[in-house]
Amino acid sequence: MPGPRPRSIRRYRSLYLLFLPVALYFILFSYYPFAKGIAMSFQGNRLIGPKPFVGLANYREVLADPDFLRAVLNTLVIGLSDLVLYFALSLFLALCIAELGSRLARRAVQTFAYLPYLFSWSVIAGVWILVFDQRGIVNAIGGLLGAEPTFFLAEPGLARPLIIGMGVWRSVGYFALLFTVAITDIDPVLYEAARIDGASRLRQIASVTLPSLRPTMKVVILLLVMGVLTHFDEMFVMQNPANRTRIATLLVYVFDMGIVKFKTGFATAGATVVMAGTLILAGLARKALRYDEA
Amino acid sequence: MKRFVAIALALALAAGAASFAAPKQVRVLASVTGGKNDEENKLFEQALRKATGLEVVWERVPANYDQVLMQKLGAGERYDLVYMNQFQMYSLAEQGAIQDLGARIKRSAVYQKNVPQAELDKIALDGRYYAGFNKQEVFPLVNANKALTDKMGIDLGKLATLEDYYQMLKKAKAYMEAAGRKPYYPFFAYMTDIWDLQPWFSSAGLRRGVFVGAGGKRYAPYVDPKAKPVWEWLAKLYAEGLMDPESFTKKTGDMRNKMWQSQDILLDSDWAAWTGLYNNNARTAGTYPDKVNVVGLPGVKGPEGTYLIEQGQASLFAIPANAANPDGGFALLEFLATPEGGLLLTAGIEGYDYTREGGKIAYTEVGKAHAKDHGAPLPISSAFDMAQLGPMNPGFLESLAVGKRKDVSVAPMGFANGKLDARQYYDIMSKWMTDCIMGKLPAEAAIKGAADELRAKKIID
Repeated sequence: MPGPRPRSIRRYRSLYLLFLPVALYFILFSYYPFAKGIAMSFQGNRLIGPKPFVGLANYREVLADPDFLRAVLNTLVIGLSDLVLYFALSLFLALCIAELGSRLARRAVQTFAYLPYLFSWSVIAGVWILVFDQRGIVNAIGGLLGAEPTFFLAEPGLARPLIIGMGVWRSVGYFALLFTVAITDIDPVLYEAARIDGASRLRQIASVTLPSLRPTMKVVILLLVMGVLTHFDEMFVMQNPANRTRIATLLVYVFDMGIVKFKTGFATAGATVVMAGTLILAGLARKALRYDEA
Repeated sequence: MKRFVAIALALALAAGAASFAAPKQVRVLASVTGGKNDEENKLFEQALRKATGLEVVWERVPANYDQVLMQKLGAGERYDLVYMNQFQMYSLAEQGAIQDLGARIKRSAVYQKNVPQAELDKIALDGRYYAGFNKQEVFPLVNANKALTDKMGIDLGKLATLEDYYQMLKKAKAYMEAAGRKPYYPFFAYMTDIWDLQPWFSSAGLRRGVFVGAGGKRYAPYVDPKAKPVWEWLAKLYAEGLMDPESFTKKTGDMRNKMWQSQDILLDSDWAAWTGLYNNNARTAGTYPDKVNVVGLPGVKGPEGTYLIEQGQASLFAIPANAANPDGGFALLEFLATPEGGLLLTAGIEGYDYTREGGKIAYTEVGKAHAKDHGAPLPISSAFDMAQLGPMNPGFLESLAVGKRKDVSVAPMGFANGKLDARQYYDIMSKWMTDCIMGKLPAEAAIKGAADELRAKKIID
């Protein structure tokens, strides 16, 4: 695609001037730190003063660290599970909401499902602890039924399912909202034509709703793919000695290296790997989805 | 033109003279030390200026301090004094990010007069000092709610062995559950960072951390075979419902609430200052001393006849390598080590937190709310007179006195001569100890697992 010609730049200079602050903002607060971070990943661990160039030493160190490799595994298990569950459950929820006859009921369910997304991860963790704690709601109900209490929060085998469940509870409403908006945009004439052709409700969903949602699905999948490697907050607030090794993700590793240990070279190398991984995943997803095709 | 040059020269000279006369600015980045809010922080700066003649800018970051510290130093912001803990000091000193203060400290009459050499020795790295003190570090010790144990007929003074504590906890559980509080878990051990299990490992004569032995070999006493009975004892407490399962998931704040607010536990390990704070909180709530009367105990005596208690890692101020005014920074550091500095860091600001009545300190309502703590509940100056602060919280001084007993040894954890990766050590130890205590692994296997992992991560040899 040819770039703007000098004449058109002159012609639309007021628009370019309007764009300038935004461009400056991104250069200063996104691209510069981004480039600086990559540069630091090739430098020694020094917080102040000149940082010696160390080539790929930080990457070699990080990629050989068993904690990093464990963090990769945790991230992929949690991130990919989230991707599948967020997508499938939010789509299912949106379809269910669309089927509700009453507008009031639709809005109520939609709001109720969306509400957790407004809470911070700390609040979500607080709710989760209240539910799954040793003296939490689940154990209280289990106790009434004669069951022995289960220590959900300190059970390593349950650590990942609990974290994934937390994310699902918080985020499904948000993605369902995106699908719901897209469903309301579908031309009613398509449903009417399907009805005239004798299509059942399920058939209408399969032949009209789902194909019409394809562009939204692509956006949602791409957003979810871009989030696969960037889980942090939920692990950070829920980690304890019993579950830490099962849920410490790549960004938790980066946080520990950079903030706790001041090893900025290792931390930025780890962060660059996350970024590169995200770019690769997003690129693959775009290709698989044929994202740019209608 | 000549006239213009003359005026410009005169103005430049005047500006130069003004900057020479004005006190040079000292920029400080601190965590909790300072005024409790913006208003008091301004007064805190003024008090420092009055005392030192330095134009102090005191930036207080009470939340997410580590993150802010890393970001500010990494971004090249210049400070003359920066608060940090001992581990951070080691990391930053190794990177050359903070200045060697050895020569200044050796020259300092204030430090010689006020700071015990033993305290300085504890923060030395390869024989050098990279920081000065914010306060005198105290220690955690066993805290027990005597109001409850008295009712149960338990004599806390007779608890000497792990078995004694086990029997005491069994009795407490039975008593409380008979009173209708079922299930009752009387003991809480905060398992994150395996903090603070030292009073129990004292029974085997072992200390937390990594030490460097003869020939430079690094070893971790908690994974020594001698530690096995302590690991087993903790596992037994958990198995028999004597140890609160929330020890693995809750924070110290929750532990403290369980101790004084709900009395869900009656035995834990906490800072000496918290003995007093438990009681003071209970007094405010009207439950002291009938329901809550916490006392500090030294724990369990070791084979050598000594109680091993762990001193908290030092809270320090260092001068960054890029400081604009390191002399000012050190002058301020010296002031914090004087009795006058100690008074500011405890009682607060005269005229705001307290007034003088007949030479004695009389706290204002604000001062009472600030509880004699503006960053240093116990100042580093050995010349500081604690008595001038007036009555302390009940039990605090008694807990402090435990550390001065002849049969009690108070020392910091093993930092492997400043080379310990504490985060990894804590993570590895808490993981294996949790597996052992929760009954997933026998003690021997857990100790071996921890030792193997510490060795694999090159934390021990």
